[in-house]
Amino acid sequence: MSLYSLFVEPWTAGDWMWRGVLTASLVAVSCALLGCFLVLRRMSLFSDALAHVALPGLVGAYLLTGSTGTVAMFLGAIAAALLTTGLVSGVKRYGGAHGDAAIGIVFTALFALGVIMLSAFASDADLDTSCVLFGDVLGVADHSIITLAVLCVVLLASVIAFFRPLQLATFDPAHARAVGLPVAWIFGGMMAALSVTTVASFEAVGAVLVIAAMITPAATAHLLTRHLQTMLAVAVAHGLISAVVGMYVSIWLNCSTGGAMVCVGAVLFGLAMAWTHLARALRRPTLTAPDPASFSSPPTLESP
Amino acid sequence: MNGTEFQLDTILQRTVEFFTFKYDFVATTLAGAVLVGAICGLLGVFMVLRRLSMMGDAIGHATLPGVGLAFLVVGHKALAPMLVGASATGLAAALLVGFITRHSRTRPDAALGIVLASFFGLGTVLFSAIQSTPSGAQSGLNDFLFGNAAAITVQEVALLAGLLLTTVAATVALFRPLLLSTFDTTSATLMGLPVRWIHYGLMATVSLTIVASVQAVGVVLVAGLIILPAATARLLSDRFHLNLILATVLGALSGALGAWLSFLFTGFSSGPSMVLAAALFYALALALAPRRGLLARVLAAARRHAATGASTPNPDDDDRLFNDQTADARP
Amino acid sequence: MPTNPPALEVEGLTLSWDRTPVVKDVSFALPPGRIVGVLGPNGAGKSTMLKGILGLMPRDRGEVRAFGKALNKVRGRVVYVPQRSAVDWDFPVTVNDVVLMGRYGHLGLLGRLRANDRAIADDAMERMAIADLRDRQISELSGGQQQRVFLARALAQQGDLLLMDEPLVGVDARTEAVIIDLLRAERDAGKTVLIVNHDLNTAREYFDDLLLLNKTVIAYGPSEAVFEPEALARCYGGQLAVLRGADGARHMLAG
Repeated sequence: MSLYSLFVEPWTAGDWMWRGVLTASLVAVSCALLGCFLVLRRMSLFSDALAHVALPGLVGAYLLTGSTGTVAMFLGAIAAALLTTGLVSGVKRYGGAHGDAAIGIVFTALFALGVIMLSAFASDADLDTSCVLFGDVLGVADHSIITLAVLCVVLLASVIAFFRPLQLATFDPAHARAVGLPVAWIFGGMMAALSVTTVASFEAVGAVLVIAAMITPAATAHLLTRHLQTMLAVAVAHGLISAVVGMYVSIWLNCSTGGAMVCVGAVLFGLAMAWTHLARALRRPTLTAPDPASFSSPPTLESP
Repeated sequence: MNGTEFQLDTILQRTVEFFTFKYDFVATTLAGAVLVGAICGLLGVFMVLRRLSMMGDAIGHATLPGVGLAFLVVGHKALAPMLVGASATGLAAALLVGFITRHSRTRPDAALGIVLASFFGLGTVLFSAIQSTPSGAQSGLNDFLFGNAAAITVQEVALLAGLLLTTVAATVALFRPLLLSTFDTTSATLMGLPVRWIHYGLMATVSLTIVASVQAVGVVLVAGLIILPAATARLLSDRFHLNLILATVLGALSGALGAWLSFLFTGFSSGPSMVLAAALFYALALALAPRRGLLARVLAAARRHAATGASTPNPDDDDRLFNDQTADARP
Repeated sequence: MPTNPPALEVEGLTLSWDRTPVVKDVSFALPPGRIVGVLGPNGAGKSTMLKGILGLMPRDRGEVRAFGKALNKVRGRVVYVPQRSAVDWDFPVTVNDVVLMGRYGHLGLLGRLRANDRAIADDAMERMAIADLRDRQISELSGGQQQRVFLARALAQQGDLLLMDEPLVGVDARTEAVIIDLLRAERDAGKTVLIVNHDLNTAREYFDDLLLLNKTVIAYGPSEAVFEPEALARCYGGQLAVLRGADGARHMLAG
């Protein structure tokens, strides 16, 4: 097993390697960017919810339009996402449930509905459940790669162009609203972007693993920094590393690519956690009793 | 419509067949579904009140690597090792979420998502290493994901019955420690209650329950059966012990209704049917519950309006969807 | 070993939050039978100190003793009343349920409530003037009523040392009076009360002793002695405003 055969040869054995890495990288970058905002707003479970409610969205779109084309799928997913956010709001206000429970109530019910719709009314549709769940990074068609590329570019451009409003809306929505930012539209846009990205990523990594692609990079970055720019950059880096290393691992072990990427991402998260503990242990402040006589001026307050 | 018939006389005929146990498997199916619903409902009250609603989802997904490991170790498909493996990884996932939350800046919801997806990812790796694709036997996978109550065996029913009895007995015996540790963990700790162990015990019970329920409900939807009956019970009662009883009963009813629906119509897997039944009960309670239901609120507002002659603002009037989370980093 | 050990002894307590020290080297000793108020500006670490004392937060350093022993040896004697915001008010329990919880510490894991426990709880509710609310679910109460429920629970625990985190925030005048009466009665019965308080103006009236805290102890002693301009200025820094009312009285606002 030479280094060459391990690292270089896969690239030469046809074009599936670079296609796979490209697909995975596009998915990783798009999801990492969106994931940062989710994690900061403590809405990580929305990725879980949207991944699941995409199913009734897709089936509904198929039943209404008769097509399983990309546009119909995306519209169905967006409609399902918006319906979900509306229902979650309603449940929080009138349904006596809070936080995660409200999200869970809505998406499990909608997902159950979707499964039944699929198997009872649309079993002839070309929706393969195992493909949706697990994805197939190496077998993604050209038009899907182009879609992912466009999506990735649009997301990157949006994050860069709208950085200040996004930053403010994320950290202090009340203040953002007060200065006139259309916070509701910003979040609505984010939900739409989330649902489109989720559906676009199904084909590559599958539904459950999209969740990992969104949350793990952002959570890892969050462990290491609190500045939004740095966090976005670190999350993107995490996603790319997971994608490439995961790809190699899946070749060496001959196993699922999506799964390998997720596992690599989890390992990186674990390393980041270990690092923060190490850093804290090394940096333990030396403690000396303050001398009361030295209080010539009032002690300054550092933010806790 | 394809695949499913919806004619009334067929429905009636099948219903009679179902409830008179015309076929042998119906008895086990119904028993299994009712037991699954009951125990998920009961545990759901604790999970929801402890803000662990989605833990059921995480544990459910985390059973996949456990099943895969059992496969690898034993070499073939065998029930007991799979149950053991699934419970082990399910419990590990539950404990890992707590560990991550306590030992890092990561919030519980992010920790849950990471654990859920990572364990499932590990599971797909294992399965794909075992066979060339993760799907393997398609019907086996579908059963794992969406449930197939009709395939429940008598042994599994016995296991579920035992689990339900044990959980009910533990709830009754440890009612006060459970109540206090759920309501006010801080005071419970200060009063010397073994709060950590209560939590571990609860997680172990939930893991076993989920593993036992996956057969009927499927991995993806077991979370719904844990959350929905508890949420419905909360709308109907303000007393803790009534919440427990109502959630158990509602869960059992959802199980029965779901099993009946999946018997009636082909294309209705038992898992989604049970969850839809539970969602139906929730929606009914949302609309019609005596004080907390929408109808009751509308009537109360109308009475207020009539009494004061002016419209009083609805105290719940704020958009909480995006406001009840706070960002926890500096810009 | 002193015959009458201090109700609470804290030595060198240091607590950090995410690598920043929030409470530094706090030391003091409370004799029994006193009402002590902890004052300081926002962010001074008052609530954190309380949590650190009780072991609800990991300590970097420091030792805490109650009645001469480690805290986990005297559990039944130490009572904690957290901030009202720390409670899940939507929980399906009634006022009576919550107050009865004060007796759980005496029951152990499998014990059952006895008539005596219920009598103690009823008495606590009477003393806090909430007996008529006993069957209400806790979210149906006003802020002042909620605070009284938690104090009734604290009473039912029959502890000797009470640690309270801002019990007077957002309560009506009647509740405040009921609470202060209760605390004075407890003090007269030999119990010790440590209160984190937000309002300066009532400090001298309500508290026997004062502890001024701004990350570390600025001053500690009898209220009359401690409550004077220089110590207050050191504690609050620029965050103290003194207004003179029309009646000539001074009113203080602290941020």
